[in-house]
Amino acid sequence: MTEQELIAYLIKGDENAFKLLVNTYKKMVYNTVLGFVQNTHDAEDVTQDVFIKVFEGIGKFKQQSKLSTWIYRISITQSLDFNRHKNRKKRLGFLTSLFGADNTPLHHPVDFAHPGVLAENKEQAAILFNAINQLSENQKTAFILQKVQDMSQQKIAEVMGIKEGAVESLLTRAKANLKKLLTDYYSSL
Amino acid sequence: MKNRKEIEQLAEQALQSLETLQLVEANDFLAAKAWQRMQNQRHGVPANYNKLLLRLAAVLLIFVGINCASFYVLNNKTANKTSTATGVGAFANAYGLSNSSDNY
Repeated sequence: MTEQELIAYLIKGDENAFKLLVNTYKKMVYNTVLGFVQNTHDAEDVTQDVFIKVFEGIGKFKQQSKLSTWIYRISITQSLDFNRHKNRKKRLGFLTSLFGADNTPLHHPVDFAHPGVLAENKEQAAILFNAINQLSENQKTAFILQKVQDMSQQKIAEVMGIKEGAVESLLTRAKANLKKLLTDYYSSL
Repeated sequence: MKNRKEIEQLAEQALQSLETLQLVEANDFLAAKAWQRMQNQRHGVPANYNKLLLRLAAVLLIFVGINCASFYVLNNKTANKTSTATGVGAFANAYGLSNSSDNY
């Protein structure tokens, strides 16, 4: 089935077309989302949300870009929305911890062990993911797309809807910021 | 305490830790789960609506509870007062006393 045919079936609301869409792109979406939300259960939920959004919004897809590019964009938007919502909850959690009975924080940030990282790199990767979370959304997006999806700068520019030069600048700043954050972290040990 | 060179080396190693990252397989049943979830959202009531209803029901229950408790307490007080008044009357009658303050 070609991409055009798949889109046509999706517009009709065909269940088999939906299942084909999910099975074709699930690995791509899940890994992108996992890089952002850094939790396997949350990543699965957000991945489902992404495919529901794709299916419900397929009529608005103008086919000016590839379907995969459009799905990437939805994945990034959904992941960033999820993180914003989670951060709001965390702030509320901090407030509740202030009023906790035993004065202990109720909500601890959890180190993320990415299932795709080699065992010997797990500890360093968890520290790096914590640092990635402190980057701006644009720097984070560019960095994750490059490192997790192994995407070229041209493709990142297409997905983010910016120029290739801007992507290069984002990646340079992201790496410099990460290096500083990691240096500060190791200096404090 | 680590020196600057060691710290920079550790930071560089952490930055390189994602170089060998492998893509993870997604859940095999993701398509079925997502389809089911979509059907639930379309045909069922939204989850937020359920939560709102539960909260309203809880508030209503508390309101009714407070009213019932108030009614019971107030009713009991009236009953006590009546029984006290009846008790005083019976005592006055038994000993030939008048409960009127005008009788000197």
